[in-house]
Formats: sequence, structure tokens, C-alpha cells
Amino acid sequence: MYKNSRGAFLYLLPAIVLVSVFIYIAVGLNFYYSLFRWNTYSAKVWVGLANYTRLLQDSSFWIALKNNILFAVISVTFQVGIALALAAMLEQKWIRRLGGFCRTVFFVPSLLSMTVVALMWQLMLNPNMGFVNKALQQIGLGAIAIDWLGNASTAIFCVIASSQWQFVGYTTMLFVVAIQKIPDDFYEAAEIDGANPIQSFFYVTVPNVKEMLLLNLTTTLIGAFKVFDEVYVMTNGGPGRASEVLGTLLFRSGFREDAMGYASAVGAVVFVITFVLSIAQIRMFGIDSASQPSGR
Amino acid sequence: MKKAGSIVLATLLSLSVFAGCSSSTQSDSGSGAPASGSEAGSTPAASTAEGDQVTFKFMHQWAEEDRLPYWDNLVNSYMEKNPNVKIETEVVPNEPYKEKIRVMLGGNDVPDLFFTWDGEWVSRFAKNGAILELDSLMSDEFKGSFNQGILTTGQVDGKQYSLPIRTCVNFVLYNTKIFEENSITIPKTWNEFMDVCETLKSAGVTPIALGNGEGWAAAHYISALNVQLVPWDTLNDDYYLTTGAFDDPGYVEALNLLKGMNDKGYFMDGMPSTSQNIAREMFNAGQTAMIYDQCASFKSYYLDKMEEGSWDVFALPVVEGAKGDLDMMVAWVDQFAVSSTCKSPETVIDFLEYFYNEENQLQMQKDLGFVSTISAVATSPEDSFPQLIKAMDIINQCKGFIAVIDLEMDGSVASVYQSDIQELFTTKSPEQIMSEVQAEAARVKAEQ
Repeated sequence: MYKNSRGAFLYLLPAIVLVSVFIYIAVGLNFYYSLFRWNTYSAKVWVGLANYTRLLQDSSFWIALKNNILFAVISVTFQVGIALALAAMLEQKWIRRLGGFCRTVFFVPSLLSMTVVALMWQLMLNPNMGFVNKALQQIGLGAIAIDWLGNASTAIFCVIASSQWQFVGYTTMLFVVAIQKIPDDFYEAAEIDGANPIQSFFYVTVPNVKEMLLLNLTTTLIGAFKVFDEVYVMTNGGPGRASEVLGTLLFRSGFREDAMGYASAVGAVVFVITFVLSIAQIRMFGIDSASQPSGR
Repeated sequence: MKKAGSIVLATLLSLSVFAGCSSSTQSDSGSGAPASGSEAGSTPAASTAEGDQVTFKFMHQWAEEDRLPYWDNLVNSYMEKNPNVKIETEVVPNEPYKEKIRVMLGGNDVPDLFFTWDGEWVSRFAKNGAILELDSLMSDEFKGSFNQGILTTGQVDGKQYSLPIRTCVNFVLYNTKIFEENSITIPKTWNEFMDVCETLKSAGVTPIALGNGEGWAAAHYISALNVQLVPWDTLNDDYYLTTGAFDDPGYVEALNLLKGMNDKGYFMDGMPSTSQNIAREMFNAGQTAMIYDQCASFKSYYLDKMEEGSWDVFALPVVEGAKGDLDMMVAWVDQFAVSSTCKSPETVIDFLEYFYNEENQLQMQKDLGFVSTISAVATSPEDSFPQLIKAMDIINQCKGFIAVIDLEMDGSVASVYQSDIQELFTTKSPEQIMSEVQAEAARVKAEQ
């Protein structure tokens, strides 16, 4: 059968058909639809690139892009940087006994549904009944107990924070697994050479989890540009457009303002951004060469 | 042989994948979309014997536990009387309804009869051919039974496209106990209203419950203030984009008044991010003295939840020297529309006639506290309550209506306006908001 490539193709056919129908054709159609002005129940009017020019002039688009970039930068800091540090700490000898417990505690939030987490944070941040402002008042910080989600300058950061709370534990877990694969000899050798824990983190741990680091980096980055649920549930892009991200802008244009063509254009931009990031990932990883079994 | 086997297997595999798809969509549409054709087709003998079996899909938005039973009873009693008709009801709550209905109208699973808002909603559906014109389907008698003024809210270019269900007008609801304790009299003018708020605030009471998390609740104040502050003709020209200039100083003044109320601390904490339902609960619990809400909500949100006589209503006070037409009012009228893909519009209209008959309308007024749009079903004291009667008196004195901004204007303009109002309390100035609305109105007008 291995020699019969036509036979192999036949077996691949169902997958190829499915992927092309649900992914490639859909992506292509999205680009096509972005060239029209239409809504779900109307006829399509050809407008060429008008949706894209409108996009460039739309202040909400730039706010959304800025918020996505904020999301990306903060997520990478927490879910890659801090998560790696946390994982390294959990694998230290002196904490190993508590390691299992801590790992579970960190990991549990990522098992919850995003909507549940977003609703929970929305309630916690509510000035009337939320726990956050009550706690701030109790410790004498009543002055900064503001309407976190109702304030244009803080809303997006609160949403990003809730997302970090949820997913730091997940990437920490992935790093823990990667660190556990590093042979103890490496650390012993480093110790004999006189390396302190910080040096052995940078010279032993980091180089040995490089692949996991890159994987987390790219998935976090791509995730930051595809974010929708948290923002939709917590603020719906508000107040006003202050916490809008590309996902909510797309949704609002398509399903609230009946501008499906414009929404498709936003979708196309999201696609281009995530596509570029994916290509970068593949190149950095060298997945092309790694995926070919050497010598066979 | 082996190869032939593999081809067969692969084909079967790929077929089964698609068979899975198509069978699931089929069963979906079988349970949902007008299935009269398929059912009649499968059992032709039975259908001729019992009369045509008709199925239609009905979608509305009254999912609340105290409101849903009325609609379920209505549908079930109709089906009992008409055994050949099967009505499949889908209920989607208010906020998600706005998206769901648009998605459904674009798909194959279109509800035959559905709830919609008036103004921009009906006119856009009608202009895109998504809903049926009802004039030819309705008898003159049926049409004549409606309050003719209110019936026009379902008309586009003089043709009837939807039928009014209930009239919604906002009023200020107040807690009578709190007002008595602070010896407050009902304010008539805006300045008196502000004085009332100030008195309450200095007495340590939160004056007004308002939850603008969804974005529309504060826009309702602006809708009402616009009518007071902007000349009526200008308002109409702007809202319907005849001119779409939005440059009357009244618009900025309206925003300034609302911003002033917030700056002085007359609204509850967390107003910009809290849901209006939470605001309603706070007013119910006596934590705030007032709330601005619409008359069709009186019964289920207040009458059923608060002590008798513990609340009353007054019309939003009037700004002194305002240039708007004070005989006009902000009102919106919810509608039922029939989708243009409906296979059996006669049956749907028959169901509507059943819904609009005197008995069911009286029941609606009694169970839901909605004000019927059928003239003969006047609000009688036995099945109404004093606050609603008072509200009806005020509504009846009115000469004309315009809907709230999010229903009356073009969707994109309303969206900019409404979301900017959410930012009025933190980052955007009234002037900036109006210039953004002007820009969006100009863009939409250029597109038309």
C-alpha cells in the first residue's frame, strides 16, 4: 500500500474534502464576500475594496487592533514569561513536595468554560456587589475602587487580566512537562560548575524547553488575535468601543449593524494576521524539516 | 480486487461524512422550517384525509418565567382548536434575539412568524424583501380592529408589513416610601427633578437606578431629551437621514444634561458596566429611589415583585424653555412579522387573528401587563392596575411618537451614537460624540 500513492490519496480524500470545504473554501469565500455590501437577508452589492478603505478610516478598527496587540503583549508576558518562571519554581527541589498541589491549583481555572470565568470576573468587578472593590475598601484603598469595566481606560486591562488568570496555569503545566524531560544530570553538572539557581534557569532550563517556549509563544500570540468570548461576555467591547477587539468588531458589524461585507473584511484582516504568525511559527520551529523522518 | 475494495471503502467513507451532514441538516429543517411540504409529501393519503397538515415556526423573546406561560398557552390552545396545525415555538431572550433573528433570516431555518422591533427593523426587513406584505392577507375587519394610529408603526411606504403587539413608553418609577420620608413632591420640570435628586443624595439615598452595561438604557434618556430639546422636524430629518446633519445644539445639550446627572452622582455606582436587570432589582429592593423604565415592564418587573402601593410613576420632567415639541413622546411598538419564505401565510394570519381576539388580548393585559393595540380591548380597571392606568392616560394625551434612537435610526448610526453615550461618562465629550455621529451619518448617507 505504501507504494500505491493513488490508493493513499483515496484514503486521504475524505479529510481533504472536509478541510477544503470547511476551511479553504470558507476562507476564500470570506475574501470574496468582503468585496460586497450585504447583510444576511439582502442581495449583495459589489463595492470592490470599499470595505477595506472604510476599515482603515474606522477609529474602532484601530482601537480593536491596539487592544489585540495589548492582549498579545500582556499574554506573552504572563503565559510565556511568568508561566515559565512559575514552572521552573515548581520543579525546584525545595518546593517539589507541594508541586503537585500547586500545579493543580494553577491548572484548574483553564478547565472552566471561558464564559463562566468571564461572568465570574464581571460580577467580582461590579462596584455594587463585587468582591474586588469591597476588598480594596477594606484594606484602605477605597480611592481606587472604581467601576473597572465601566471605565474606558481600565476595561480592556480587566478583561486581559481575567484571561491571564485563566490560562497562566495551563501554559505553566506545559512548561512543567517540558522541564521534567530535562535530565537531572544537566542541573547537577551546572551545580558542580558553580551555577546558582538563576544561572541554571537561564543556561539549562530555557535552552532545553526552547521548543515548548516557541509553541506557547505562537499559540498565545495567535490566541490573542482571535480573542472573542472574554470580551464579548465581560464588556461586549464597551464602554463604547474602548475594549473592542477584532473579534467583537467583526461580530458587531455583522450581526448588529447589518454590515456583513465589512465584517468579512475584518475577518480577512484577522486571517492575514494569524496566517503570518503561523508561517513565522512554522519557520522558527523548522516543522518542515522535522516532520520528515530522517534517512527513510 | 483489493484496489476496487479500497475505492469502495474510501468512497463510502467520504459519503458517510457528507451523509452525516445532510441527514443532520435535514432533521434540523424537518423540526424547524416550514415542513408542510415534506410531511404532506411523505403521507399523501393521510394528508388528504385529515386536511393539510401545516407546521410553522414561531419565534419570540419573552423567555421570562412569568411571561412564557402566556405564550405557551396561546400556542397550545390554538393547536387544540386546529389539530392540523403544528406550531413550533422558539424563545430567545432580548439581547441575543437581536443577533439571532438576523442570522436566521439569512439561513434556511427562517421562523415563519417572529417578533421584531419597529422603526428601522421593520423597514429594513421590508425593503430587503425578508418579510411579507400583509395587506392582501388580512381582512378589513381584522385590520380595523387595531388602534389605527399604532397600526402605522408596522407600515413601510403605506403598506402593512407587521402588526403591533404592545406599546412601550418610558416613565420614571419612584419609591413612594422614600419620597414620603424625604417629603418630596413629584417634579414637573427638569430643575425640580434635579433638586429631587440632590435632596435624595444628601439624605444618603441613591437617587436613580440605571444599568447601562448593554448600552441602551442611558440611550433611552437621550432619546427622550432629544425630543424635548430638538425641534420636531429637525429631529425627524436627522433620525431618518433626510438631512442627517445632527448639528442642532439640542443634541449636545441633551448629552450634557445626562452627563451632569452622572457627574453629580445621581446614578447608582457602576452604572456604565451594570446590566439594566440588576438596576431593576436594586429599585425593587428599595436601594434606589427612582428608575426610568417602560410601561410594558411594569407588571412583571415591579407590580409582581414590590409591595402594593410602594411605587408609582410620573412622566420624565420637562426641560424649561426647550425647543422640541412637548406633545410628542418617545415610544416604540413591538411587532409581529411574517417571513417572506413562509409557505402557509394564511395559517399564520389565522393564528395572529386568534392572538388578537378580544379574549386573548384581555388575557395578555391581565397576565403580562402589556397594553393591547386592539381598540376594543380598552384598559379596564378590573384587569389593570393604577400605575398602568396613569401611564395610559399620559400616553393618550400624546400627539405623536418617535422611537428610541437604537430602533429608529439606521443601525450603524445608532450603533455609533449608542456606544458613544456609554463613553460619555468617562472619556468622550458631548461635542465629540455628536461630531462622530455626524460623520457616521454622512458615511451612511453616501452609501445609500
